[in-house]
Amino acid sequence: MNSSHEEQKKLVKFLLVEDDDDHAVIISRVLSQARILNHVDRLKDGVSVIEYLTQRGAYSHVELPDVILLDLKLPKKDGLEVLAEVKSYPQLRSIPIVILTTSNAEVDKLKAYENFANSYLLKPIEPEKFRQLVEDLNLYWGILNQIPNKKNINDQHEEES
Amino acid sequence: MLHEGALNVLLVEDDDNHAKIIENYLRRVKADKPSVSRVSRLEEGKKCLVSGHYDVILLDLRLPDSDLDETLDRTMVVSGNTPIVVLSSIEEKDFARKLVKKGAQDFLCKSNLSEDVIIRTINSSIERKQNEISLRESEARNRGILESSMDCIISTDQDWQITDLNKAGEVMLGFHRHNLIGKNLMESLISPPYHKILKQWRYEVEFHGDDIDHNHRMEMASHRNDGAEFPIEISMTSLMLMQGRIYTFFIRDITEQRLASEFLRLAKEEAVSASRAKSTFLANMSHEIRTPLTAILGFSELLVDSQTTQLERLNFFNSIKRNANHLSQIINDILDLSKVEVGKLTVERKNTLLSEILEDTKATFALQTKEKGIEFSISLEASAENIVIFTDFLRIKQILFNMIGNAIKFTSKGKVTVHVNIERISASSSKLMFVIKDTGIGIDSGSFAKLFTPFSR
Repeated sequence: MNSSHEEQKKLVKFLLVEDDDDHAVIISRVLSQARILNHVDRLKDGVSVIEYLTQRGAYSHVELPDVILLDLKLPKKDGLEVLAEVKSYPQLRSIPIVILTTSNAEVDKLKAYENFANSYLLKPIEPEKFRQLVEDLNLYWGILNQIPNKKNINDQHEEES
Repeated sequence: MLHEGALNVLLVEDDDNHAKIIENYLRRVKADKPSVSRVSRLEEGKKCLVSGHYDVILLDLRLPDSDLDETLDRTMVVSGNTPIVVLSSIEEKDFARKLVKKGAQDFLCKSNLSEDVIIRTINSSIERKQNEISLRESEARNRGILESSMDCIISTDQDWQITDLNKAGEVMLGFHRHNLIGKNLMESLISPPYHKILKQWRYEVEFHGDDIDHNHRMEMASHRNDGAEFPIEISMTSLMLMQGRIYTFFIRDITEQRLASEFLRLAKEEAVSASRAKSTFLANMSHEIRTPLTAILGFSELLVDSQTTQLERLNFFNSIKRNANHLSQIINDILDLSKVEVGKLTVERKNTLLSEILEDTKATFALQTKEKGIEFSISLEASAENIVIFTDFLRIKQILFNMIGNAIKFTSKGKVTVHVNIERISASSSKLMFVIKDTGIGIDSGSFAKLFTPFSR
């Protein structure tokens, strides 16, 4: 495992979808202090997530993220809708989505997993634990876990359309 | 039922010879010798009946004070439950037989008497009279039950032509007895959609007899005299008699039961939906509380982080303070709300300057809007500068703060404006309208209907 760490050359890219500025500051800060190199893009509403991930408009040149951290209570488009929509795109389905929310409602958890969320975390998380979690996420989703090459999926998708 | 003890016989006979013959026969009875009171005239006989008790009357039809065709009727006026045996000559036999149908229990032909015949006739007359009385009483009892029943009870013949109905039925259906007797029960009283089931019931009875296991009881609909339909529970029984099959229907008006159960259903539905709304509200509250709490805990952690610069610490500290205030506000709101729920929210109204409330409001949001870079203004008609309102200062500010706070929360650029309109209703009273406008994200037109429902966003 150590060797894997050392081998890390690429940057792990996070997409943070969070409308609350304070939460965004805290999460980005914790991510920036993680031992694994990463980069965070932040979006504030549900509609822009879809534009970003489908690389439309202002987002035509963005690189797809390795992990999406998704809040549920979002303006314009609810987090669960965003989740369902992202998972409906074949070329986006393999990007792990971690729900990071203040909602403790059973129905939200159920719907999140029904819509193929990869993880469901409840805020507030103790900062120390959150730091640990971010590192684990980094390590697991960014380094250890093998997913299909995004470039290939994209090309394949373009051929289809 | 046979008579016990010695018989008390009243003999009404004007012919001494005939009387003697009968008395002689009766005297020959060995055990319990009957005692005979003999009179010659009808009026004497009637006097005896009024003052004394007799087990049987032996009545000659031709009397000095009564003619053949009136004697029985006149006797029956006073005879009550005492059986009458008519004494007839051989020529009058057919006439006497007719009198048995009119109320006499039996007749004795004077030319054909014997001890045996007399005693047997007397005993059977007494017995017949007693049966008649029991039957009459039993019928009266049944009629009493029928009439005191709260349910409508209808008797019909085999073709369901109504032969009788009780008082409760008249009241329930709004028909007079005479207007229903002879009519067909199904056609006149039961709503057409149920005719098929009723016919099925009759089929089952006709083909399987009375002792079948079918439960002929169901909820149907009937209609009153005025055409108004109402729900009923109907049950049917039938009996095969000598003259044919008869049916009895019990009909109960279940309007009130229906209303009661409908009321219960609605009450339950209301309770369920209130409880569901409350759960949703609690889930929202949980979100409202967790949001500032997450910030407070997160920034606190960052405060003690050695990598954090002095400037950042100041920012984080301010963020903690802001979130703590917000949290405290939420907790106050929840406490207020729970007071409303238990009816303990007090409203203290007193005279207040409108301009003072607006000044307070302006001061509260000035900094926040400035930081956020949006315009914020409160305007009031010039004529309203000195308006005094009678209100609860705290509550009206609470409402304004909530609405303006929300407007600012969902507005990232542009402006939030508050304008107060005054509409004079009379010389001493006016209506105030607070108009809050923002250039924020707005509300879906689809969500307008939910605006004033409790516990929903």
